Amino acid sequence: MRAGEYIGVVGENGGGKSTLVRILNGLLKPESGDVRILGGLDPAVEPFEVRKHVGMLFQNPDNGLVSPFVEDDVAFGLENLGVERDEMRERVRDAMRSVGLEGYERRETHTLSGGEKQRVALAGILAVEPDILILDEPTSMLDASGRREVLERLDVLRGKKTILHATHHLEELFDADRILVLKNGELAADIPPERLFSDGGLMRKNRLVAPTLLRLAESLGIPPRRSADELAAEISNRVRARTSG
Amino acid sequence: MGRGIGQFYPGESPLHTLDPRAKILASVGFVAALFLVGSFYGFLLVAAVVLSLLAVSRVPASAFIRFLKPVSFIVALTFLFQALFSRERAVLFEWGWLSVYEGGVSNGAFLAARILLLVLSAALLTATTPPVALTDGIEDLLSPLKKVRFPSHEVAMMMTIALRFIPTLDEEAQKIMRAQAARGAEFSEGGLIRRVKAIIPILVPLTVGAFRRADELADAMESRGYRGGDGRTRYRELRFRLRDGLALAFVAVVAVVGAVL
Amino acid sequence: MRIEVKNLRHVYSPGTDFAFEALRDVSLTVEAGEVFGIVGGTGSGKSTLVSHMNLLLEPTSGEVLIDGVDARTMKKSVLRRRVGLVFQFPESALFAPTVEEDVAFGPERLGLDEDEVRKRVEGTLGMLGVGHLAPRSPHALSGGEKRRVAMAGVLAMGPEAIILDEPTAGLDPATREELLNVVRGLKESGMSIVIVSHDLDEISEVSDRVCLMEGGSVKAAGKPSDVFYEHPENAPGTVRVALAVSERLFPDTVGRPVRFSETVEALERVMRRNP
Repeated sequence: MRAGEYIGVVGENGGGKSTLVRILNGLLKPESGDVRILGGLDPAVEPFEVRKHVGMLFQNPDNGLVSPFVEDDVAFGLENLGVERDEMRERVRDAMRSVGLEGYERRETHTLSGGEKQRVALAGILAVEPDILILDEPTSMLDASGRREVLERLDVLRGKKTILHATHHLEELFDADRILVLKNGELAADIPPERLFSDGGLMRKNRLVAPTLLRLAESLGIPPRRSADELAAEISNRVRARTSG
Repeated sequence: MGRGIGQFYPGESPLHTLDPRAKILASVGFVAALFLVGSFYGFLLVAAVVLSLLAVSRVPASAFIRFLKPVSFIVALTFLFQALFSRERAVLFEWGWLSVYEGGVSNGAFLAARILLLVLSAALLTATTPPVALTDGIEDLLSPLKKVRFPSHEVAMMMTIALRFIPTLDEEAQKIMRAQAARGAEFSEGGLIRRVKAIIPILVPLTVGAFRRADELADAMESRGYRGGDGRTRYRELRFRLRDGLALAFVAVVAVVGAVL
Repeated sequence: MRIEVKNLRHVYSPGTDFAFEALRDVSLTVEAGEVFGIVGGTGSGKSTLVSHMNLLLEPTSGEVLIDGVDARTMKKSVLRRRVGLVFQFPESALFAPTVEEDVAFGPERLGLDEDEVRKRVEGTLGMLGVGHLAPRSPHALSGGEKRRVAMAGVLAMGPEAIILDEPTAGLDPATREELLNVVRGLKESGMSIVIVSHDLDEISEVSDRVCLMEGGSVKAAGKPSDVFYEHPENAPGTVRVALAVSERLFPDTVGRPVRFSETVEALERVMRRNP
């Protein structure tokens, strides 16, 4: 992974996504092989050093929040790093603003919606100002509006952080630089999204199901389009081209 | 729909803004005073102070009444026990084998009032102090014990997490009960053994779920750089100001005067 | 089985500071043998609504009729056997040491004899394609397997209707597809099925009729083509594409396809069409 890259990770449940992301920040130790973060840090040896630079967002927003109050939870990572209080206040405020949760400081975390909880978790990670973000299926427990909320906030971070994003929703990875396909603990492919989406054989072999829009485009012989409007525009253009030609 | 954590009542009274450590120590002071006072006037003084603090806190009386409900049975029992079985001073009245003595009634009333005031002073603390501040205060007060290897940070962290997860587990228990009821489980029928048996389908998923949560929480905490209390700073500031000192001194004076009177 | 909901209203914690009106005046009918999809965001009242269908929750006002009979007049144990309800997270239902024992829990509560219980356990596990899991611990299964076992636990009670609350949430797409096939199989057996989901794509694939919930009320209900084409902001991808194409060309060229195969067919027809 290069700095600033946005990399997707896909594959069926049990394919190794979670294991991979946990090895990267030292929650699990590899049996063999070598991991280096930022050129020199080995998460298996110096997990705490690595975690200063690697922020991790988990699947279940319910089980990642430590403190009963939003503000305290966002500060948790900073407390662990021993950041001074004045700086901490500032960074908590900035982080909360960057996920659109101003005014939520004193709310109790358990009263929030899934999307809001996940944004609190994201704020807690951003407050630490990591270089690398690891996202382990951050939207899989959310409903459509919760997903949108979280994805919008992640979208802004593209290019600013190195991002590794594991997900079941392929349409979330349209803008990824490349996608890693994991199967049975092995890297089955490492390819750009367009090529993966248009390779029906590779998709089927790895039990990947493309989102409706992509499948629709594929069935009609049209290259992947990311929105219903774009797909409809392409269809209409082809029809017009035929009728006028 | 949140019911709020613990018994905290958000507000801006002078009591709310006191340092939690001062409030914890003051509560301890009240408890000591209530045990030490022997005379009626001493007791009256402490009682008057506690009751006026209730007013100062501006927490609705209904909240305190709710607090007292669970102990009301014990209070009533204490009073009756004293009134019926103590044989001091003059007989107030006799009714068959039952004779009630003046000393019994006054002792009973005294004990009952003591328990009520104990509970109220504890309620005063939890109603005016956010749980997070409470755990911070406790951690701080216990920190001298670190020298004898008492895990004060860990104890406080445990309390914080418990506070955070009580509502979550409560929700989960509701969900599980509904899921099992949908499968024909009955929780309110049958004898004791049947009822205990009926709990198993709730307890197992709840326990399994709690362990899963604990695992995920541990992952999240570790990945956010948590490694115990060493080298950790605190977001919430505990500042012991002059007013906290004065408040404590006031409670100390009340306790001493009450004990001497 | 026909399930009718009439003017249903539900208030949680009535009379307290936390009173919350989760449902207001909801009326709908699930016809015998159909797949009825309920869609809507979190907090729209979907789960509260279905919990009334077997009286896990009692209406604050209004009524639920099961084949024309007021549910409140029926014995709860009988009603819950007839209307099976499978909740979103199978973890909250699974508790026994083995899958077999777990699935047997419901039928045993019905007082069936041992042979009948065993027959039902084997039957339902087999029907859902997880017979081989019988001796395993339910806690060690994959997400998709757990859901099937939880479903089997309800189906083993022999319900005439089954309600599935978010049956595929959090699963990978391939597993999701398999579960939808299970739903199609259940429909074949003649059962009435209510399926609650916030995934519009999957609801549109399996439902005969749908109901769109919002803020505790029914915003629209009826045939998927009617509901989705009149509420495109809450429509699956197929409908949004078809709608956008007909807006760009001229109306009525595309029709109102909803399911994936219908939509491909309709769009192919448009693209092939001679001027």
